[in-house]
Amino acid sequence: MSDRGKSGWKRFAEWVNGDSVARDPTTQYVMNRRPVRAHAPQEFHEERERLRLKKFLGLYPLAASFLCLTLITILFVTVLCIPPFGQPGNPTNNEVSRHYLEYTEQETGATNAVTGMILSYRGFDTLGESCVLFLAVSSVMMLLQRDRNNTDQRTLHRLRREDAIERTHPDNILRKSAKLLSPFILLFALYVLFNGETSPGGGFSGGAILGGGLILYSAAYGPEQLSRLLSRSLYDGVRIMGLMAYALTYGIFIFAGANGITVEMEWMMTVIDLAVGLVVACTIYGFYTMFQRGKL
Amino acid sequence: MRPLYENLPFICMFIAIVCGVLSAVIRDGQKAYRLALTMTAAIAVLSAILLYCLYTENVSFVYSMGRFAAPYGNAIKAGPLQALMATAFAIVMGLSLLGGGQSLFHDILPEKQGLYFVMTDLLLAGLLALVYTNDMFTGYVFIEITTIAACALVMAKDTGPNLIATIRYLFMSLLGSGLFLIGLTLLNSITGYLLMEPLAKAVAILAELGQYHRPLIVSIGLMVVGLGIKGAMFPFHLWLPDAHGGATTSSSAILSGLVLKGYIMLLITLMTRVFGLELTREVGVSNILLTLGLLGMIFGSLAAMREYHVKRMLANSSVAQIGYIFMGLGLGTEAGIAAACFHILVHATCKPLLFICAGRLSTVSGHHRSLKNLRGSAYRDVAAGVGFTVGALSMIGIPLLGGFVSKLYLSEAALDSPFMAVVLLTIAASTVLNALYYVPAILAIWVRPPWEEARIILLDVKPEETRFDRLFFFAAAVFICLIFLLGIVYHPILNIIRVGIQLM
Repeated sequence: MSDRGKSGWKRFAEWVNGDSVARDPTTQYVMNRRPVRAHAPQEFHEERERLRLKKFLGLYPLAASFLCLTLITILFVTVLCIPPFGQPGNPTNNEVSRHYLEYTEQETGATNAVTGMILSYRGFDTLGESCVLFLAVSSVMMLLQRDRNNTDQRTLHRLRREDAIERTHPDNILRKSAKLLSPFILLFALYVLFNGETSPGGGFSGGAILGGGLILYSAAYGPEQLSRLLSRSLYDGVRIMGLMAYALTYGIFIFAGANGITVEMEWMMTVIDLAVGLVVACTIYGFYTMFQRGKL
Repeated sequence: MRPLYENLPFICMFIAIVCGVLSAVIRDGQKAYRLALTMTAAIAVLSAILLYCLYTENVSFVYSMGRFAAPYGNAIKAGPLQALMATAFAIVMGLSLLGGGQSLFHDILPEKQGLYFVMTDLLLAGLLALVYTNDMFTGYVFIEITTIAACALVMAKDTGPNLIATIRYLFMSLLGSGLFLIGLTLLNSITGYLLMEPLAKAVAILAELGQYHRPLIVSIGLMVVGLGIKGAMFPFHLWLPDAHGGATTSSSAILSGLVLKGYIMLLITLMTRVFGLELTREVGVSNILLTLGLLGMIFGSLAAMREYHVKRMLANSSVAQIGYIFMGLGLGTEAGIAAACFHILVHATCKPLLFICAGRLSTVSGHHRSLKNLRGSAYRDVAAGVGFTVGALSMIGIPLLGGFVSKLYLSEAALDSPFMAVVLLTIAASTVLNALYYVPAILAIWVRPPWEEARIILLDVKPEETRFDRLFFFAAAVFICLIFLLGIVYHPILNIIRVGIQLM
C-alpha cells in the first residue's frame, strides 16, 4: 500500500480505522523500522537498514563508554568521601554490630557469629536468598528443559553421538581421580554443612562443595550413570523438601518469636543449615546438568 | 502476646512462598493454576481483614520476624496503606490469572505450566514483601525474587522475540538492582543501619550536620535511579514495550499492573519513611522525578500512538501512566504521594483489564494482534469489547471512572507546586494524547470491517476458541466494577491512603 499520493485526511481516516500498514513483527526487537513501501526496490531498504545499523553500532559503544565513565567517576569520588575501611570510629561499628559480636552465642547458640547472623537474626533475608536460588533453577528449567520448542532432531542426534563417544572412549584419568576424590569431597561437604555453627562454613559453602562433588561425578561417569542414582523425581523431591523444611522451620520460629511464645529451637540452626545446603547443591548441580544436557 | 491480626502480613507472605514451592511438585498445570487462584483469594481476604482492623483502629505496627527486637533482627511494618496495596495486588493477580487463563494454557507448553505458577506465586510473595518491608536489605532480596520471577513470566511463552525481550528486560533489571545495591551499601557504610527507623534517624542527623553529604546524595540518587529503571521511569523504559507487549496475556497484565507498582511502593516507602520528603526535596530528587515523570507522560503516549500491535500499544501506554505516578511523587508533598498511590490503584485495575480484554479479542480473532485485524472483534466477544472500552475510557480520564479521579487529585496536588502551570498543561496534553490512541482503538474494535476482510480473519479462528469463556467474563466484570468503584466511591479509599501515609 503506497502512502504517497493520498491526502492527509485519507491517511488520518485510515489510521483511525486501524488500517495503516502493520509493521513486520520480526523487527520489534531490532529497531523500529518504517514499513516497506512498495515503490522502492528491496535493495534500497536493505542498504538503508545496513547504514542505520552501522550508525547505531558506531554510536552505541561511544554512548555506553561515556555513561560507564560518568558512573565510574561518580562512584570513585563518592568512595573517597566515605569513612575509611576498618576504623574503630566508623558509623558501621555501632551498637548493632557490637550486639552481634557479644550476644550471638548466648542468644542463638552459634559460636560463629556470621552463621548466627544469617540464620537467626536475619534469617528472613536468607529465606529470601534460598527462594532466589530455587527460582533461578526453576527459570533455567523453564528455559532449557528439552521440549518441542527448543529441540530439533539435529540436537538430539548430536547428543546421542556424544553419548556414544563417551561410552566407547571413557576418560580413564578423570574416572580414576573422580572415584578417588568423590567420597572425600562428599565427606568434606557434610563436615562443612554440619559445623556451620561452630566454624567457618554452613549451608551455603557446604552446599556448594556438595554440588561440586556431584558435578565431578557426573562429568567422569556420564550424566546417565548419575541420573540412575539421582532421578528427576528424587532431585525435585530433595530440592523442594529442602526449601519447604527451611520455610516451615523458620515460619514457626518467626511466629513464635513475634508472639512471645517460647519454643525450644536448638535444632533450628542444624535443620536450616542442612536445608540451605541441599537447596544450594541442587541449584549448582541443576545449572550444570540443564546447561549441559537440557534434562536431569 | 500481640493481637492476632498483626500476624496477617507474615502469614500472607508465608502462604505465598509455601504455595510457590508446592507448585513445583505439581506437574499438572491445571492443579497448580487452581492452587494459585485459591492462594490469591486467601491472601486477598486476609489482607482485607487486616486493612479493616488497621483502618478502624487507626494504627500501624512493626512486626519483628523472629524473637530479636529491632534493630538486630528483620522486621516488617504494616499500616493501612500497605494493607490496601496488598489487598489490591492479590485481587489483581488473581483476576489477571483468571482472565488470561485460556491463552496461558494455549501459549505455554503443558510440561512447563507448573513452573509458570511457581513464578506467579513467588512473585506475589515478593510484591507483598516489597510493600511490607521495614528493612532495606529485605527489600533488596525481594527485589531479586521479583526480578527473576518477572523475567521468567516474560520468557514463559518461549518464542524468539520473547527470549530477546527477556534478555533486555533481565539486563535492565539487573542494572537497576545493581545500582540499588550500591546505593544501599554506601548508605549502610555512612549510617551503620539497615532497619528503616534507625536509618531514618541517622540520615536526619547526617543531613542536619552536613556530614558525608556527597555519599548521602549519591546513595539516594542511585537508589532512586535503580528503582526508577525497574519501575520503567521515562528514559529507562525502553525494555518495557517488548517485554510487556510480547508476553502471554496474564504475564502482561501482571507485569504492567503489579510488578512495576511493587518497586514504586518501595520507592514511596523510602521517600516517606527513610529519607523524609523534606530531604528528597532538598537534594533535588523530587524535581528529577517530576521532570522525568512529565517527559514520560508525553513520550510514552507518543510512542503508543505509533503502534499498530495492540498489546505493544498498551505497553507503551503504561510508560505514560507510570509517568503520572512518578510525577505525583515528584511533587514532593503528601497530597502528591496520595494522588500517586491512588493512580497506582487505578492503573493496577485498568491496565490488566485492557490486557486481558485485548488478549481475549485476539484469541477470538485467530490470535491476530494488529489493530487492523481486530476490527469488529468486539462483536465476537461483547464482554471483552465492553471491558476494553471501559478500561480505555478510564485511562483517558472520563468522569465516573477511576482514571478521572486520579487525574483530578494529581492536578489538585500540583496547585501548591511551583511548577503548577507546567504540570497542569502536561496533564492536559497527555490526556489529549491518551485519547488520540485509545479512541481509534475503541473505534477499530467496534466498527465492522468489510465482509471480505472479516472472512479472511475468520478462517484462522478455531470454533472452540470463540466459545464463551466463563472465567474471563467473571474477571472482566469484577475489573469493570472495581474501576467504577474507584471512580465513584473514591473518598473512603483516598482517606485510607491519606491515613496510611500519615502512619508510614
